[in-house]
Amino acid sequence: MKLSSVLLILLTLTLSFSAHSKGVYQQPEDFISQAFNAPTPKSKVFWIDDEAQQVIEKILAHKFKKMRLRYWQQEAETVWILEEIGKESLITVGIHIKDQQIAQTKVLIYRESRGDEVRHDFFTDQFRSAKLRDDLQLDQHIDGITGATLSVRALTKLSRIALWLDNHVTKG
Amino acid sequence: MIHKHHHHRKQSLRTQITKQLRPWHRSLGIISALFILLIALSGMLINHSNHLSIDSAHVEQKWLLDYYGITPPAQIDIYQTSPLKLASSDNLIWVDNRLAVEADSSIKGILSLGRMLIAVDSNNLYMLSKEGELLEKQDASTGLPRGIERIGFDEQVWLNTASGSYMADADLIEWNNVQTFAPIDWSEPLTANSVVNERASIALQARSSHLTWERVLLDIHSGRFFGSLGPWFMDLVALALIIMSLSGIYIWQQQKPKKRKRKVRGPRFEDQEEH
Repeated sequence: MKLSSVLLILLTLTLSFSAHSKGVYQQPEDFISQAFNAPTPKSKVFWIDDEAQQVIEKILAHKFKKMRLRYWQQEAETVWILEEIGKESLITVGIHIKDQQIAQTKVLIYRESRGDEVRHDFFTDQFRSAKLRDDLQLDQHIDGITGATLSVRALTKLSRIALWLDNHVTKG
Repeated sequence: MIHKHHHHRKQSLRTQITKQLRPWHRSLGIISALFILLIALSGMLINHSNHLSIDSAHVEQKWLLDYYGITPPAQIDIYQTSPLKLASSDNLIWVDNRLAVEADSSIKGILSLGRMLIAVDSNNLYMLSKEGELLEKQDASTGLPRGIERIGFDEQVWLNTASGSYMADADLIEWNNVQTFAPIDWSEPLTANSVVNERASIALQARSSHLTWERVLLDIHSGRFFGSLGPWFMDLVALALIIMSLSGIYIWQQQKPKKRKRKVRGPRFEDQEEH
């Protein structure tokens, strides 16, 4: 009896710890309105064409199944809410792009049990002013974080995808 | 002569210590052997948990789930059993017994529509492929109404919310607040009595999704698996291992100098001493 009650307490602690690390740092809606400094405008729809599919899969290095993406635009600024798996769970990232360079990359919802250091400004500030090179890489080096390698990789990939998409929709 | 005598006494003291140490070393070894094996084996498995897919293997043994105090989900709903099994347990969406989506709150309904599945919780809409892949998630930022209570279909997809009914366009992009005239076919779970087995299997899977074998191995390794005193007990085993390492080195060293001396003094002397 005592053993099981102790285990129950331990489990509760573990669960509450994991619940703690599953953080919602900002609602996507708030990120969008903050980026534009205005109420969230109506979302636009980007239908994934063959070219976009190829580029996204090349950047992600795995299959991409979505048929369309939502984004928000105001003149030369776009906001993208994208998701990618770090190790096991999805990381929801908001990316604000202004004049084809990143104004802000922010972790909005983090669901992994480890590696959430990527949510801090000291890390995401590295993406500021980053542009996309022709080889689909960022023109700035992003320093990794020990123990959060996969999350860092996910954020970098999503930033590259957002820059490409922004380029695609603002040009077209 | 004096020097020799002194040397002999020193030798006997060492032998005495070694004599005292040996039984301790032996009994500590025997007592802790089982736990050392447990620590070593679990440690090796944890080291390669990703490679061996232990980190993604879920525990399905009921007694172990009971032991961890993992309770069944509060609400289980089966929406369809064939051709695809569609179910929800609290905030989890199950497509053909595979966990498809972990929603933000409990699922209010699942629709099967053409080549897609559409599920809702109170503030989000999830569009899935029939394979259970999430194609799109809609929320207030994409124009989805809040406070969703039901999802239904009548030529278009409908949502019943706290603030009235909403109808989608054909692409499910925009939602318009519209008065309903005809009765809408709302998504309802199948009655519990008709899907007893399905409910039981979802209940087990939902429970098992909370516990991986890696977690169990980590708890065995640290001793936490054996209750609150477990980690302290494992500390004792570790202490025994430290003591045995030291006593082992001491005992070994006692034998090592003898061998060296034998080599220096030559084989004849060694033979004499031994007999």
